[in-house]
Amino acid sequence: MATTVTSERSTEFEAPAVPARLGGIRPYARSVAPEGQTSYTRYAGQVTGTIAALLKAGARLPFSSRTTTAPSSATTAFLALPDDVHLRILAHLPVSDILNVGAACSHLLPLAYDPRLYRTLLYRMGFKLYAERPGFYARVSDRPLLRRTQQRRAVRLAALAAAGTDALVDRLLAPPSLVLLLRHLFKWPAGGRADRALITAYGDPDVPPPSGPMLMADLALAYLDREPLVVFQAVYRQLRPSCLHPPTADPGAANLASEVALALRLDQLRWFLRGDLLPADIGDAALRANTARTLAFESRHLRALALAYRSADLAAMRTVPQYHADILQLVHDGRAGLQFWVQYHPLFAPGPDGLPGLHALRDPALTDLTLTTWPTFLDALAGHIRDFHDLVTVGLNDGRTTLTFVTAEVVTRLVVPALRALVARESRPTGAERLALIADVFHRSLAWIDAAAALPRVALLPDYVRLALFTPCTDLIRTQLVAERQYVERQYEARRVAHPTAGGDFSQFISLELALDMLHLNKAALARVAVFWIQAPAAWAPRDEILACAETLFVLLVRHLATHHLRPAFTAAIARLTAGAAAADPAVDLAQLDQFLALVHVADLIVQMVEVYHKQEMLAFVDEYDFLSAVNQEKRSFETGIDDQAAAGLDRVIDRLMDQVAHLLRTTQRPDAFTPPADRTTSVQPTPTCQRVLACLSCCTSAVTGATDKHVVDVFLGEVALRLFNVLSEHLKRFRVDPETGAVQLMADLNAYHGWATRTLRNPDAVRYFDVLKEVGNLYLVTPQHLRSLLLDGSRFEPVLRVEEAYEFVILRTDYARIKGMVEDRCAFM
Amino acid sequence: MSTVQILTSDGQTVTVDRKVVSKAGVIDSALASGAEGNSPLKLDNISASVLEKIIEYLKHHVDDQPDDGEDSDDDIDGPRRDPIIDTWDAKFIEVDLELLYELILAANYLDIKPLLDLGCKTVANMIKGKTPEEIRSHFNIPADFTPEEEEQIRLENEWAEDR
Repeated sequence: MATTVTSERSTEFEAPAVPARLGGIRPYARSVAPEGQTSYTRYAGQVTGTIAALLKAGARLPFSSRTTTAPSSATTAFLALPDDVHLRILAHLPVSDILNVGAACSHLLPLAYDPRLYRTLLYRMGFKLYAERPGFYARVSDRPLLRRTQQRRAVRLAALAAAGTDALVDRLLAPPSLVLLLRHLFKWPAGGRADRALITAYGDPDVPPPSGPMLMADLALAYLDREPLVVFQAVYRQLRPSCLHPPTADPGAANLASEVALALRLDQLRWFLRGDLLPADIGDAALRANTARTLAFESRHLRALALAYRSADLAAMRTVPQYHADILQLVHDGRAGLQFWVQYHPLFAPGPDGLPGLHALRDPALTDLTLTTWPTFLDALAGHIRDFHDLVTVGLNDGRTTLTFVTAEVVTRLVVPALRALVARESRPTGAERLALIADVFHRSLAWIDAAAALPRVALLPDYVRLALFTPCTDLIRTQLVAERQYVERQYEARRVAHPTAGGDFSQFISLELALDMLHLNKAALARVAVFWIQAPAAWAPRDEILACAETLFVLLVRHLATHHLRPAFTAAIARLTAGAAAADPAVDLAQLDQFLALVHVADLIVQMVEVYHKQEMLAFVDEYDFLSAVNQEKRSFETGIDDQAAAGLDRVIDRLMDQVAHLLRTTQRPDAFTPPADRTTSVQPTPTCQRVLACLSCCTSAVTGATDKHVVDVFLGEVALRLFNVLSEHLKRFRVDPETGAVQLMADLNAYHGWATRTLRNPDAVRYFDVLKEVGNLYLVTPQHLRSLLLDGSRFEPVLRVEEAYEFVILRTDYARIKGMVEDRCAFM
Repeated sequence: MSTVQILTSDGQTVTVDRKVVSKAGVIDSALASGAEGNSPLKLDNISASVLEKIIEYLKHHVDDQPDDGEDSDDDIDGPRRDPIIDTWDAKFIEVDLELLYELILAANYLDIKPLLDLGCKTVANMIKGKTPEEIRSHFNIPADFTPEEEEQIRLENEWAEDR
């Protein structure tokens, strides 16, 4: 059973993919024959002498060919495990145990010398290969320039690696050692993020490819990947004795020549012991001893540094040799050395208020901070940072690590606490001025941070530093957002109270200036909120709260405009229009109509202003087509609300107009208007009633036509046409028409109405009502013989009247009783 | 919760929660590729007793966060081998050698990395501090080196010795 499993899962043991940057160099991988038979001959070149001979002879040995000879009994089941499982087991062991396993049996011997195993062991010591960190490597390789320089380097590396091994190992272990270089290639000195480490190590992509140490580091990597066993043996041989017989701190008595070498060795041992390559008892004791020695070493040099810098004088710092500082950089990621700057640089010296103060610098700009003097403070601080940059010119990476660290410290220990303290302390000014100042303080601080992160030799990613400001200031920003909301709300409330909605002219019910003022208020608040929105890094969790605040501001504006300004104005105006109708005089107050139309016009302007505001400002926050967004929903309901109210108002106007028309028709049309006595001369002039109605209509419609936009006018006139037609139909049905005498008079009236309609309405659908009305007039003119065919021609009345409805008009003929039979008899349609 | 049927090498059908068994990379991808159908999943090289043991392990660890395998950059002390075995795991892996091997093989086959590591650590702990002879007798490994070869190996391994 075990063998079946083996053949299915003969995957490589932690075998890294070939990294592209190594060009033609293939990682040393054990080749596995298809039958699962391992070819050991490749090891011959790597392992010297007798072992090589043994490995070559492997084919003769009993257990070299596992798949064919491995017995399935439990007694030898250990040997039947697949190679990659064996290697996994070995990877958990100290070196001495690994070699003991190898010495147990000829089958296990090659495994104990497997390069993949030693690559894993090196990794355990902190050597990280690109290939083992795919994410990390991807970040490097997506920079085109870096990729090119890496390819160039890979070619050189291949040549160097082929040149010889012994000399290389010597160089790798000589200071600056392989461990040191690799550490600085992959590790942020204070244990920061990989990204920062990457930038620290490589600098800007625009800087020429590093030489010297960087080349050595790459070389070491390539070599490590290619010959892990050789590298491991060299490192192990060098460092293991030092664990057992530790280097002493006294240069005179030590086998290490100088303090620098001692520092390097202490650091190397730290990494070596971390790999757990020694049996547990020895390893733990050595690790403890080494930690204690490192601490003692560090504090000795820190003391020396402190003595030198006791004066806390920048000029003195410049002149004191940086010997101690440099040595400290070599040990334990250089943390002690970096920490020193923070402890002793006057920028970080605590002031009387407990905050890291700037008092020691005796700069007037830096004391007595207020919201208004904050920019001066930032400028002064920038000056001091620049001075510091001039000061730090030596050390690893040209002081890159120190500068990066110190800059980050200035942001987190100085700028942010000062900002927090300032905003909490300063309660004046208040209102919009305060909000604007705080927004400005944040804006400038963020710009300052970006500028500091962009200084040469500072390797900070802007987003990380911004996060360092946003995260501690979360509560401040929240307070600010709440304050913005409350401020806008308060201001709007105040404007509501001050606004009169009674008496006078309708069109004055809404003030365009007031709406504009509210909009500007909103715009200013939104601009202050946008400071945070634009700068907030994506990783800052409460970022969405900014968006919510911006949305709330817009919603506040629209709601206040609708609820407290437009709706009351419309309600009042409509109430007034209705009140007029109830009064004794049914005549339309043209002045009121005018005023109402002006009101609609102003409301329309406000809607357009909101529309423009939404387009120009809000679209930075919300997507125009996001129909779920509160902003877009609110805007839409605002627009429809205004449309509805304008429509309701106009409806009321039309009611009034029609009441008036109906009143005129009812009170002034003579009962015998269309059945005149024979002695009265019939005229082709419209009746006086018709003329008065038309005068009233024209008066009203012309007022509308000029007053508001075309869309509203069209809707208005369409409605007027329909209702007028109905009123006229009803009116007509109250009369009888004498075909001989009154029909001509009626036609004259109907023609007049039609003429008015064609002149005024312009909309063919609306004019059609009056076309039909004329056709109705024809029903009285024609002789009874032709009446039926006229009625049957349904197209004359479409789509306004059905034939049955047209027939109702025929009944009005005075001769209807006589002709009834002629019309009805053969009426197939009845 | 959906369940999965598994047919073991000795012809038994075992029913398990899909969530539990999807921790095993191979089964998970087999299920994801839709190969399950209605027929039970065949595992030709895992017996019912071993499978039961594995399911016991998976059930206990069903809510564990998957280890993304990348050590944190913020861990400034770098990767360090973790020799400590969880108490439950230690009790779980207290089995005879034969079952231990089978568990390792099955974990390797099914791609259950934590269980594989647990097994390997356990074997490694058995090896620690033993001489080659002790290793041979503990694992029933036949000695196949001649005395000359053994001497050669001793010489070759000297790089790791005290000097």
